[in-house]
Amino acid sequence: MLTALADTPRHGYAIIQEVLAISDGHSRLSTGTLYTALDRLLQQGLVRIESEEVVSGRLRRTFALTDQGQDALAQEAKRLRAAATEAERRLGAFRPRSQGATS
Amino acid sequence: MNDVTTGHDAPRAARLLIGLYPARYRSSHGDDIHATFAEATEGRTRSAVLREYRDLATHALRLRLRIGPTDPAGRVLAGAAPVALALAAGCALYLLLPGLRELVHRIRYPYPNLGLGHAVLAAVLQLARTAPWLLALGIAVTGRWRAARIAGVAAALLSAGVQALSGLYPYSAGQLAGMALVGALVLLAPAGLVDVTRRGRWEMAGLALAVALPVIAADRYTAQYLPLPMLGLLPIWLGTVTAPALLGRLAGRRRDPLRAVGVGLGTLPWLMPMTAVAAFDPPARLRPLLEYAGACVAPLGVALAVAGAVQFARWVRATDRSDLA
Repeated sequence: MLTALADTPRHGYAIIQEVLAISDGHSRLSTGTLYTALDRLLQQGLVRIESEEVVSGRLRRTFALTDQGQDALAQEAKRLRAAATEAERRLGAFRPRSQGATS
Repeated sequence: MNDVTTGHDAPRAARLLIGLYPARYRSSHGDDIHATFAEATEGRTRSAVLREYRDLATHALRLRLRIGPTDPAGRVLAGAAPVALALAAGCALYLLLPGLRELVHRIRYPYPNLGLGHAVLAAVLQLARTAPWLLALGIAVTGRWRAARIAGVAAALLSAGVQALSGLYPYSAGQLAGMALVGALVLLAPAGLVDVTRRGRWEMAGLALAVALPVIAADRYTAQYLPLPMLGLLPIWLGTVTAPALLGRLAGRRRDPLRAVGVGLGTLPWLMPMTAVAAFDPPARLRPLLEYAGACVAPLGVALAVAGAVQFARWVRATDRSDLA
């Protein structure tokens, strides 16, 4: 969800769509799950309410990352990049033993 | 039959579901949730819309019951659920593993007077009250808590059902209530807060094995030297293996008192039989029962005391350092 908000503020349904796109169609948040996560991220100070507008007579909110949320996402991205680099290095070092080889 | 929603019914249903939210949350977020729900259900299949209804109702009820991920009670439940599940799976392993060979033997060579049907029924009942717990723990250890939650609730229902078949005298009614409590803890814990990091998953597996393996070994090799039958000692042992987890929550670098309360709560289901006996069929002399209850909670009390001492030592060290500075 933090990644979905990294480039621009989004409203609830746009976050659902963005998470679906980022996960290549694997993760589809339901409305209940989305707001459960948003409650927590708002409380942790990682996400803030960017703006409120009235659309068709209803209040609609747009959410954005806070500075703390950007830092948390940057740290997580760094950790994942390090893990991926290490995985690639180990895969590169792996040489399957050829059939019939003796040791 | 049209299996896709038109988008007209969904907002009306959403309005009803949004009525489940606490008034303050509804006035603050209701419109936004309603708009998102309407868009998220537009053109979706009926089953997908039903899942949306379920998740929205779950979110609303969690907030109403104050057991959401941002509520203290939610953190307590998130601490309790994996402990309760691991202890239940450990007990199930203890009940299943030593008797497995006998169950298979009895099916191959049934008692002549009871027949094969009885042997098969006994095996099915034994598997029904134990195997689902192991399955639920296995799923939890792979990190899929939502699936583990469903398996855990099914395991609780099956165990309670099998327990009910054996009759409801106070002790077994207490066991049934204990199983129901494990199911409730697993069901109500906010999935996003349950620790399914590698450490959390190792802790669950470790707790279950720490419950089962020593008890199986003790039952097999030292049963005649034990002061009580192994089933009677089990609640004391459960408290003992849980104590390090409690200590970790209270004395670790990332101290978490709410999750520590949850760890204590996770052991409560195994005190239910004793509580039921005390409430509905109290023995003539209460002292042995109180001593037994004390033995059950003593390991957790020791963990509390050690955690207090560790915290005090840290505080003294920090005070000394600031004085020197």
